[in-house]
Amino acid sequence: MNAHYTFISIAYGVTVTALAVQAILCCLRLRRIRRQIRAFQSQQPQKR
Amino acid sequence: MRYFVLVYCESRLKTIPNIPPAGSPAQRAKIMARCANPGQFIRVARWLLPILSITSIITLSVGLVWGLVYAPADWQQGETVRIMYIHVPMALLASIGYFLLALCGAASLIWRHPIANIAAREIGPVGAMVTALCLITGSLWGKPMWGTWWVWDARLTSVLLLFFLYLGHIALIRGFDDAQRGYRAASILALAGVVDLPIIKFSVKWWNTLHQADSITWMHAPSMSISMLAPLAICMTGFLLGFAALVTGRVKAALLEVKLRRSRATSLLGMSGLETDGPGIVMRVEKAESGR
Repeated sequence: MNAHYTFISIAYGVTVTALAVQAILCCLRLRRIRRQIRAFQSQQPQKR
Repeated sequence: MRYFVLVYCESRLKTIPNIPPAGSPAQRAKIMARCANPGQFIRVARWLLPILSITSIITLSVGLVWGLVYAPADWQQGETVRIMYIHVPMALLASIGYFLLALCGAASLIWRHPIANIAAREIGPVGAMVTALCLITGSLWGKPMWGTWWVWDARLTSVLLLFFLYLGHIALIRGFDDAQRGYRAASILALAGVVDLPIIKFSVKWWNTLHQADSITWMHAPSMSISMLAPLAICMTGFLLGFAALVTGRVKAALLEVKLRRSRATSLLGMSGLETDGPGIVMRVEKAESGR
């Protein structure tokens, strides 16, 4: 029975970790690109 | 009474503007232009992404806890059956992801849809990840049930082939110096590889496989108890929403990157005093910028 729980724990752990890592990487990428856009816009001369 | 109803209906019908029939070329072109607008996609993703993320987290929390703790154990497989609540959604997502990849490939080759290439580029890694998870969880389920991590079974082998197709797609899209050639080659691979999807689906019927037959089919009632089916359906919905959220987020980020590169290229041209000859020179500067 314990061996069965080991397999289940590994399967759930691997899946949830992989999805969480993907989600975090996606959030970081979005944040980085937003910062770059803001930095670019602040460098641009103001148009009148 | 009937007369008044008829008169009312007639008066209402006269107020309806002349709408072109559904599916007319003008309407199709309008829908296509709306779908092909990256700005529109970014605007939609702004409100869609939080909704998808929050609903997927809630649904997955409920489904996974239900499957792991409250769902009954199988009379034959025991507790190990709980791997089903992640293995089956991963297998479904692997097929859906590749189908989307093929749709993007078709949209790219036929209509030169501007978002299709970017979407294909972003779906590939997520699809490869869910296919890998499907293979890993299947292997973890196979060891206690079949006594082996892997067999060269038709279902397992066709899913492994799907994983390699994903890897090939990722490599092709990123492997060319000329991005357009890479997108074209990857689209052709995605369309050719779609033949693997029916093989995966029907492999358990066509060949004598160690992998069990489908428990849920369109034509027949499911062969599993509702106490197992309910958490499975919730997990499938949750993972599907999570997949959609991941892909939407990645496509949005990729579109913003393209937009920024284009703005930088246009700004560079403006500072150098050069006149642009339309998108051509902007794209060349953009390419040089991205290659640095």
